[in-house]
Amino acid sequence: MKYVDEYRNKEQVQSLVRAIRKIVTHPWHIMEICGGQTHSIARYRLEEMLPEKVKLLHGPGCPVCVTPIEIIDQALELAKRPDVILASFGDMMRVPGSREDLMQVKAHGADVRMMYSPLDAVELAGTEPDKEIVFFAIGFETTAPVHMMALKEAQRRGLTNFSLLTSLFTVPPAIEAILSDPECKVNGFLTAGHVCAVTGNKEYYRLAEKYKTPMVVTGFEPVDLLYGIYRCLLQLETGTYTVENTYKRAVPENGNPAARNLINEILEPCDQEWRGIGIIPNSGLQIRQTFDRYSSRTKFNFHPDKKDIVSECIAGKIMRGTKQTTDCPFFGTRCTPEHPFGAPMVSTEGVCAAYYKYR
Amino acid sequence: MCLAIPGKILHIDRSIPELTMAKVDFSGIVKNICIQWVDASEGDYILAHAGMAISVLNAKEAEETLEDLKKLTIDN
Repeated sequence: MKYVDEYRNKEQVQSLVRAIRKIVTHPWHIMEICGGQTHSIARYRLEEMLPEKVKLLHGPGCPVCVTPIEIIDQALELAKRPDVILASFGDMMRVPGSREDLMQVKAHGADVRMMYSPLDAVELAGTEPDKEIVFFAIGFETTAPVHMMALKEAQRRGLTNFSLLTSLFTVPPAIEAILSDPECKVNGFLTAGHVCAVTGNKEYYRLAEKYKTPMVVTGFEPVDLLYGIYRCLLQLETGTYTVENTYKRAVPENGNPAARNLINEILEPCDQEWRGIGIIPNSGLQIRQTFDRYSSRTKFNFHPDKKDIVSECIAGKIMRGTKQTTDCPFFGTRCTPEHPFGAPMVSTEGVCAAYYKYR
Repeated sequence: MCLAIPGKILHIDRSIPELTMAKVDFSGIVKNICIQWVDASEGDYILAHAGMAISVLNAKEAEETLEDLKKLTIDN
């Protein structure tokens, strides 16, 4: 496939690794934010190719992992209602709420449908007028506008039986939370290429300047990732800190204004809890009051029945980069993808699940 | 989750102005993708995420990155 194969080229990977080895003189910690990048790094075993002095830390950019248990419980409660069809990306099916997961309630007869796109859920709302269609709208800035496109399409078609159960996060406040942590080890960031394809790079210039930390916009294939790491290390070794875009084929400087306008029209920033981390101010997006007829939280009454779980999981520290998966005594023994303790073992894009699968 | 895949636009349907759709070829699998947010023509490659094109792949920029990478290969 064009635009993929070139970036999986073995010789190119090898020469990038040689180039990296040549320039590194100090120990550095680089964090990739996006779970998709974490998955690629584990899948292509890139960490093992890097010099010992360079450590990769794996950030909190997987919305499946960081969606709070309370929201999973809301999805489960809605799924069990006889008048509701709950539609979701496949990634959410096995994520445990406080008692069960979507796959289990589906097995007990709930109507839960896996979908590739929220636009497919709008189609379903058109063909099932007697049912309430709820789409479990999780994501970062990449996915948030897609959910809003579905909302707009439901509005255009005059559908009143479609709503979104949102769990939406934004990257820059999370980077800021990580960099403000007194224990922070991160020297440079690979920013999430597909988030930047929507948001553009502007906000990252402010962060690079304020925290004197390089921010390199990076793609997802092994050559993309190593090139991003190489450019980040060049900045670190020469004492510079700015935003660099190594994924220009997909990320224009100004991102995608049409997608961004849709976010701004329908959503507003809110304080948001991240599973395993806690509340990060202004790091979430919620539906504005003018569109709240499309919000499942307005449309339905919930009966929270959260079971408190005492967790020994160190996920919060792992996702902030102050601990690593290998520091966890439960990794791969008591905590596995089948029986996850915490967020990064839940999704295939969580760092613990990626390490479990590929290491 | 933010996975986005490149695909080639085969055909564009502009019959609904608010919802421009395209048939997009992903290495042999053809899917309907909404291209409302991008300025794209048939033959262009787009990056599709959850049914929406979020970006048109820029052939010139891709070429320049590959050139930069080639230089690194020569030097290393």
